[in-house]
Amino acid sequence: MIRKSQLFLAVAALVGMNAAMAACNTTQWGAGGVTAVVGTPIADGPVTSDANAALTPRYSGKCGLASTAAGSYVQDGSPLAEASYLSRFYVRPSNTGESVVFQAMADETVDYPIFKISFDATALAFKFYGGNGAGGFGTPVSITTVNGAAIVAGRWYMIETDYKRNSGTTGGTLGITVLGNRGLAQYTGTTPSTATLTAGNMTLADAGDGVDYVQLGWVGGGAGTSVQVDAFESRRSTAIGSLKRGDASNNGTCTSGDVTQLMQEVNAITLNSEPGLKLGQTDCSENGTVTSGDVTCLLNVVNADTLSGGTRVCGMPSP
Amino acid sequence: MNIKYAVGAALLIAAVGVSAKIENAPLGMEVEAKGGSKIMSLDFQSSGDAASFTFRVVFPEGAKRIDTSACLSELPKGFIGVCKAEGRAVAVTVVNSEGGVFPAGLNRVGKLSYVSNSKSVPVIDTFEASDRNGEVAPMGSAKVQQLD
Repeated sequence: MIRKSQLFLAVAALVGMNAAMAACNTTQWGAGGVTAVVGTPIADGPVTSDANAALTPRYSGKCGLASTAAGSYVQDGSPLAEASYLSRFYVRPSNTGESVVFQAMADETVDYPIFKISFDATALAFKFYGGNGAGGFGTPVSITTVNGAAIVAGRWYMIETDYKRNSGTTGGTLGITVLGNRGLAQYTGTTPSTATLTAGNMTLADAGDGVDYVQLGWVGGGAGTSVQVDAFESRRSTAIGSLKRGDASNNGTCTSGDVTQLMQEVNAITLNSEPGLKLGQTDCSENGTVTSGDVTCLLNVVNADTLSGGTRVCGMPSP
Repeated sequence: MNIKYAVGAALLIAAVGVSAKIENAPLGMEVEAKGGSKIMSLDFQSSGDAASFTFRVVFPEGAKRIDTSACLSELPKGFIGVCKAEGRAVAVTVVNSEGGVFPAGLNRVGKLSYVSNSKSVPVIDTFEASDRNGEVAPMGSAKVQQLD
């Protein structure tokens, strides 16, 4: 999987696999003195040619992180009492019940969550809870649809949050953006769903507390098959945004060359060949598998981009 | 290939310069029939390294009844693609599904038809091509010519 942090002007790093490494890993998690891995999440990719026989869908790059039980996740301690904290990750929840997939923590005498994100498979909703400063939570805000389609389990969704502490112990806000599961039909005009956890819904134990570390994966709760995550990134400022779906080469555009690369990857997966995996986002349908259906999807995305004359890039409005 | 098309294709190749190195480029040639009905043949000139391409054709103001049913009808074996009209523009995207490339020279793609009284020629304003590895292939200039 990919983890990037610009909190300390760190050089963006590909985490999990590069040309010199033959296996996915979690070595760049655990900064800031926190335990990198809790439980037994699996860092792996969609082929079985490496040492780990498990097959893990990924959204971007060659690896993703799969947790098959509650209490399996990774931690990043790069933040330090952050008053402004933006993060973006992709999640493919296949849990039942309600599972926490992300938690932003304050590192105090008794650590406590400032906010958490869960997937409720019963309500088919992503829920965003503010902490009460003592380990509990208030009433969440929920997102249940993206671009008019109901959120479902087993599909990739991007979740981006923008936390601002503001003044006092209850002034914190959380901006929320969710996008994903665009399938084989939504080639253009995809609009992210947004929501806000307003002031008064997050309480800090002390007005100077902030985000000290975060937890990503199947943090807790629920049951079911798995929670998969990928492409985590965090910053202090400037919105992160979504990765470009279908951009197989990871060069920021979707062209006919990406369709060729996607076809190469479909063959590579069929042949269990790790070197043939691409570094971009090949799962055009965002359903967790890369198949010939994604080739059809990307052909249509590229054609729609071309038809737009440059106003759309990978199906999204050009910046 | 009918004689009219053959002559036109030869002229088109001459226009883009056969003596120089052939560059990847989409080419169009328009023939007017009766009552403002027009047929535009679509070709792809290949330098021999292109495995895929995409381009957009924009028809003159007032163009109507744009028909894309034969847009990809003459693609060489091993190529697949999609063709879609929106307003007075048509986008064409083609890839090789077998790891091959377009042979060097002029490759037929298909035809578009539309109705227009305009004297203006359609424009190909957006195009790119990639090689068999999905990397960007060098492109020349797109051209559309009218055959009287």
